[in-house]
Order: sequence, then C-alpha cells, then structure tokens
Amino acid sequence: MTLDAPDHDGIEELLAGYALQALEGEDAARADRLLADHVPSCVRCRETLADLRGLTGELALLAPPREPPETLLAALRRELAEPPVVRRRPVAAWVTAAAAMVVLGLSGWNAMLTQRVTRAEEFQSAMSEAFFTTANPASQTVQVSAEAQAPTRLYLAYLPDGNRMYLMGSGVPDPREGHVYWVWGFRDGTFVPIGAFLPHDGLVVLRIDAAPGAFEGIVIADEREGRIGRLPGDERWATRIG
Amino acid sequence: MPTGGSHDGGKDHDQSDLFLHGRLRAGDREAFEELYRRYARPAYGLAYRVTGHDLLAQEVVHDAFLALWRAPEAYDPARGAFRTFLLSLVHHRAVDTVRREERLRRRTERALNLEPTRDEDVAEGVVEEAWLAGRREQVRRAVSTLPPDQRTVLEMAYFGGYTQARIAEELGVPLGTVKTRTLAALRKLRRALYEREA
Ligand SMILES: [Zn+2]
Repeated sequence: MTLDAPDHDGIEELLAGYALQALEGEDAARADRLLADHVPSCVRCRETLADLRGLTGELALLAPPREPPETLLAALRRELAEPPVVRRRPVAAWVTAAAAMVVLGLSGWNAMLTQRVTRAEEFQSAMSEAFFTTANPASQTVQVSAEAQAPTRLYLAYLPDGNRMYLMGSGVPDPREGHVYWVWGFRDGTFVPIGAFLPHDGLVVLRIDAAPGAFEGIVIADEREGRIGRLPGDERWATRIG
Repeated sequence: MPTGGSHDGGKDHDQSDLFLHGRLRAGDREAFEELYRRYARPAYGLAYRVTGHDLLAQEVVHDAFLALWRAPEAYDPARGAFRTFLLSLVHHRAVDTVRREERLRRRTERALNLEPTRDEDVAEGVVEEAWLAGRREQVRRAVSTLPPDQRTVLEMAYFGGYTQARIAEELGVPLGTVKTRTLAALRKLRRALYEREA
C-alpha cells in the first residue's frame, strides 16, 4: 500500500509507538507497511525515525545506573574466547544495488511463521531444490553453526545472484516450548524477518525466498510463536553472507 | 542526524565510541571491554528498571553485549550515536523479556510509581563518567518538563513495557489519546535533546 499524500503527523504518531515497541494489532501492521513502502524513500521520515530511535536510547539514562556483577563480564569473556559464531568474512562480494533490497510481502512470511514442516512432500521438494543448488558449481555454502556447537550443523546455501537461499541442518535442537526459530536478514543495522522454521527430528531444510545479495548476513533467533518483533530475540546462530 | 552529545564533552565521547566500534568490527576484544566498561552500568540499570529482576536484567545485558560482539555491523554510525544504539538495543531486549515473563501486575505498580527525577533514584556508589552523568541530567530535565499525563504514557510504555492499547485500557482513556500524548511527549524531548545546529 502506498500513501499518495502522506499524512506526516499520523505517520509520526505511528513511528513514535513503533520506536517504543508499543504497537500491536492493526497499528503494528500499518507501521510495517509504512516502513516497507514509505519510510525508505522519505528523508523526513528517516530522520524522524532515527531521532525516535535515538530517544529510546536517551531515555535509558532515566534509570539509575547499576553495577553489574563481575560474573557478567566473566561470562562474556568466556564467550568471546570461543570460536566466533559469526564468520567474519571480508565485505567484498556484496551486491550493493539498492534495488536488490528485498521488501517482503508480510502476508507471505506471516503464513510461513506458523507453518511447520510436517508434510513430507514440502520437505522433500525443498530438499531437492537445496540439493540442486549446492550441486551447482557457482553456489556458495556458508556454515552457520560454530564447530564448537557439534552435533548441530547448519549451512546456508545459495547462488550469489539468485533469489533464494536454503538453510539446511542436522542435529538442530528444538526451540523453547511455544517458540519457533526465525531467520532474520540484516543490512545497515536493519533486520528483516525472512523465514521461520521448526526442526523436524533435528533436521532443517528451509527455502528462504530472499536474495542473498540483499543482506550482509543472517541471524537465527529463538522467538515466541506468532509474535512479530522488530529485532531478533534470543540469538542462536549468525553468519555473514559473502 | 541526531547531534547526540551536545555540550559537556559528549561529542568527544561519541567520537571515541565510534572509534571503539570500528575496532570492534575488526574483532578487537579490548575495544569490547572498553565499551562494556562505559555502558554496562547504564545498561544494567535500564534492564533492571524494566524487568525488575536481577537475573533477567543480567540476561538482557549479556545478550545485548553478545549481540554487539557478534554483529557489530548492526550499528550504523549514520543513524546516530553508538551510545543510544546500544541502550535502545538493551531496552528492546528488556521489553521483550518482560513481555515474555508476563509480570503484568508488578509492572503496573512500577510503571505508575515511577518518579525518575527523585534524588533517591540515583544509585549510591555507582561510579559514572561525568559526561554521561551530564547527559543523564539533560534527559531528566527534559522529561521533567513534560505534562504529567504525557509523562505517564511515555513511562508506562518505556519502563513498563506496555503496548499503547494496554496503556489505554489501564488508564481508561481512548487509544487515540494515548497516541497523541506519546507523540507530544517525544516531540518535546526531540526538540529538547536533538536541537539541530542551524
Ligand atoms: Zn515521510
């Protein structure tokens, strides 16, 4: 949906609620449409949104500062010492054309969210597509899971100039009860949900209808089923694409 | 672009944050530790205020800093100060956490009893850099000028983790009123804190 003569007061009101994560229902859907259709091309709205996001950081200072326990930094140090989950690849092969930025139809991935890969034929067709993709010499395969996370193995396969990616895995633990895994694409600090899945006996084959060139990488997070957040929730895996 | 820091040396700190962020992108652990040293206290204070729980607050701060380490490119310097990016990330996760925990009653009490400008709200003995304390004072002053009804909806959303629909329900006012008050409050804060240099 495009707004022909944008009502900027109305838009700003919506963006204010959005920045506070305070929208639900129809308001949240309107904000999503606005962020996909109007904001990217409107300097005024981009500036408004940047300031509103800034304010949600400034307001943090109203809470009295508090000394975290030393165990917190110690835990972080341990995780930093582990092999990085994100593969830090050089930022060279990005397809940078702005036109390549995928704006996904919300109806599509909304339905996808609740979809469980239970039907054998769906699973098999995704698997055979994934197989043919990886068999193509031009394809690239990126390991998403860290070596240290064995037996979990997760790979992302794609043709660099293709429109799809395939997430394949084995030994993938189930998310928490009532949760699903979401796949988020990220670029320039913006996260876009591009797929959701539940492992089937630890197996994952997910077709993601998004061009690999549109994103710098993906994040897979454990999220409550049916909930649409703005940023990934509990991050489990991440990789860069390149 | 938000000016972020303003007087009191905040700009210099925003600049050195940017430098640290650049090193972080290259996988520099010392840069990570320095950013942690700068922001763990306000981050933990925020997470504690929103979740009302030590362990949940630790989880929030842990996850936010780990996300920063793993995907530092999620911060885009063109969009404002690093400090506000990081703290809004912490806020986002804190709100997600309280929604997950569904501690509605406790949040009601906390959100409605919130008096951020009271002196006893300042935690004793927490060492903080002067420029950050200065910015804190600016934010407090700006918020203290808001009419009480605007401040209430803002704080219920921000610290209580309420949606606007839920705020309308709690206060017994139309949803449209909540939206109007929220926008009015944020516009005033935007003018007060992000006054553009002409
Ligand atoms: Zn606009």
